[in-house]
Amino acid sequence: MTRHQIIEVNFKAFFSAGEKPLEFQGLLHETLRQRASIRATISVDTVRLEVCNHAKSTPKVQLRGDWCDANFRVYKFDCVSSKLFLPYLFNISEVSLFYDQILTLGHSYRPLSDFFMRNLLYSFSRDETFACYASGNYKTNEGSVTNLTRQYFFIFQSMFPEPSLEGRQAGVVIDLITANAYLPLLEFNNPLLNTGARKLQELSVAETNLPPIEQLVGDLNDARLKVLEHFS
Amino acid sequence: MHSAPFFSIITVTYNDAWSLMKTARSVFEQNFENFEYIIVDGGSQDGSAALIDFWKRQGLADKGVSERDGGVYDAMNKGMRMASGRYVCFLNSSDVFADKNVLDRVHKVLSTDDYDGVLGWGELNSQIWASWIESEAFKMASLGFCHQSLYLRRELLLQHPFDDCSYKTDSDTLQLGRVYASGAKVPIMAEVLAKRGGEPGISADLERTKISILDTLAKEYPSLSEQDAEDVIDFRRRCEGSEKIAALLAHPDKRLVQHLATMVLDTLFQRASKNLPKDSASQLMRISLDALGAATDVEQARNIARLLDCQKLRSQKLVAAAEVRRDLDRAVTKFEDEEKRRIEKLHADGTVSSNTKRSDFVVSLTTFPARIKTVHFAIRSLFEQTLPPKEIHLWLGRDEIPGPNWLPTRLRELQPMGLRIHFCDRTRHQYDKFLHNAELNADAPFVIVDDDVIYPAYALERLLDGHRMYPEAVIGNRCHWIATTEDGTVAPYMNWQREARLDHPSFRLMPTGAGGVLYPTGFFIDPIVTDIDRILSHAPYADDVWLKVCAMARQIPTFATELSHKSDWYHRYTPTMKAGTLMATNVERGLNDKQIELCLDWLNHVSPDWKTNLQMDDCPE
Repeated sequence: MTRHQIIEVNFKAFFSAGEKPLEFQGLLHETLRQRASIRATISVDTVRLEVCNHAKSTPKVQLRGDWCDANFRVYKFDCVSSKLFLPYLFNISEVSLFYDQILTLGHSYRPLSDFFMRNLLYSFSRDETFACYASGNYKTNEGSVTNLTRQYFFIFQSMFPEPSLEGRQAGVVIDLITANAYLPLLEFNNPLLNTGARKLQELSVAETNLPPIEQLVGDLNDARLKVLEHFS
Repeated sequence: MHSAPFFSIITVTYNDAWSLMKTARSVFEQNFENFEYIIVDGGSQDGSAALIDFWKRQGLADKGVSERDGGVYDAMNKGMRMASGRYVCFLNSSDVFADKNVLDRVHKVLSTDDYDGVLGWGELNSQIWASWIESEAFKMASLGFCHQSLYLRRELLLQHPFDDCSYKTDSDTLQLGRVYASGAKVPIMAEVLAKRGGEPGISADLERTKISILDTLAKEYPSLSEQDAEDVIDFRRRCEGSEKIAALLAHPDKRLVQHLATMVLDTLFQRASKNLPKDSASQLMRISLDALGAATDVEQARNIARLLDCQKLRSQKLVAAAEVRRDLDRAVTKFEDEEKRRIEKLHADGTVSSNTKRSDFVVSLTTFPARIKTVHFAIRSLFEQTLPPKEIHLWLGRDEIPGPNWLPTRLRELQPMGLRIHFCDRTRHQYDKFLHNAELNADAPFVIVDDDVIYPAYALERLLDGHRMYPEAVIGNRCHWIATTEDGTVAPYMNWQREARLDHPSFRLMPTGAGGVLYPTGFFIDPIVTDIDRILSHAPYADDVWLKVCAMARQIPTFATELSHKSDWYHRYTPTMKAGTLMATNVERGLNDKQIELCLDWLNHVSPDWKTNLQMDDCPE
């Protein structure tokens, strides 16, 4: 059997269940066999899927892309409730999942984009640590990046059947969720989502109301003590 | 027309060939390929030129120069002028990339036209330089960063060359400060991109460093008095005189104060600040944050947020690294129990005995830091033999393992059994096994082994049995059958048959160190075997290949013992087997084949009959 390490698919094949390439199963097998990571990278004209070695010290979920607003860069996504909103604030152009983050193998009636976004949502739901690399405007296909967010939204919506997410076009609701990180525009029945939205809004306020010096001194002291522990 | 490469990677070196080996290999292993590699040698006399020649022939080193220069910064400026890539990185001799995807990741970030470069993190001896500030403040007392993790546009470097005065040691931080002062956009990449070599660089010369930094402070901050500058250095180095620094933070020169405040905050996260009481640290933080205007200036507040994020990330990475070390310790403990039981069983069933008479040959091996915790397992297995050796010689490089205090107790405990531990000034990697003690082979056979294998109890006896039968031959417990193509040339290494044997010595068999190899008396006395220039230019990363062609040059065949059989040869390796292995580079990236090709070219000159000799035997079943 050929061992697939890298495959490239066109956007249609990435977002359409009917065109899911057969080689993907091989890639998945390799990921699990090697206990490696599986990565999807959206480039200008194609999506590259590959098996990647995973350094032990790096987070099991890694994302690359751009923040919708540079201010989000300093936000702390340190709990499930705020992590769940991350894909609305960060335009994902690359997802890398360690093999133990693969909880659903991707049903035949679901596209590859679903595989990555569904597992990502599960990882966030388990409060897994992740790394977000936003280092500039990558050369990507913007439409596909947007489609990936929509894919996430559809899974999110099915998991959290909220009235405030219904009845409008997906693009409009996604914009509202992003804006909700600044201002309380949406109400959620689910307390987890409400907590996450509130946390993000608090961060937004904190960003404009800079923390007092004493709070910074406290934060710096905490961080310093953690670093100095390693010098004993 | 050739387009300019994306990166120029420049290595500056001087009399450091064996460290350069590590650096060049790390460049060779990069998955991203759109780069040129430039080696600037200061006229070394230690074989560096031969190694550079090797890499030129592999097409890796695109440009190189070997001539006297005016020191490291002069050489770096020279390399910079030779560069044609869009972005330049200096990875000097003994430094390595953090992993094989570094250039790929940096390329992804720099693919946007917005950036003039990126500044990543660096690592040295498991400690991390976590750069966090993107500012001119680097001019202040050498705010630490890892220059091996800095990628800058070539034009920008040419505008801001290194200050190459002979006494300078901080020209890299000064240059980075100037680059930021020019308004260049060089964001931080908060991940380790390079690992610095263990060798102390020019910054280890504290007196010279002080002169250099005082010079920088005098030129860049004219309002700072000489005494103030001394106080700044004392604080930066030892975190001493915090009250003097607190007073300096009230200086009327706003730019000076901002840079000082940045330096203070950075220093509070360094080892030097370990003994500074929390109250004093808090007070310094308060004054520094005030001086920066962190409560009112959004940009400064963001810098502090980044400092916090970077230090938290650094802390996480240190925790993860400590966990890896603990995992290894646990694996070593478990392995030790298994080994203890195995050895007890060998004694219980009479396979080995402490009263067994020792043979007259010596065993030699080398190891390196990643395997120092486990090398005692391999050595112990070589003492627990049906025919134990007279002595086992372990060779270590002081540049990697400074002295006996760095050795684990379990290793030192083996000395009464006949372990001789030698320290040489600089490691020559796998070649340390036989470059230093060839004279021991003058009157007796000589066995070389690997440092990560548990040798079966009869491994040495089998070698000696073979030697008694064929005293002129090389004897191997694990040999490969050298495959040839239809026209008689040697086939790629991947196609060679593993663990092969014949009932007689053959030129077609290549012994591998993993099984243990016995070399007949006098083999290493031939000066060609230890000719460093020849080794570095032909097989710097493949001692097995080098020794095989040396044997072929002298018409010495190899005999494979009965252990060299797929069903008999069992691989029991120590827990650090995968650490620092050359397997990926040599086999998967084809470096073995390149070295074999060069060695066979040489063999054509010294022993033109080798092809005929190779055809004498058929492939074993």
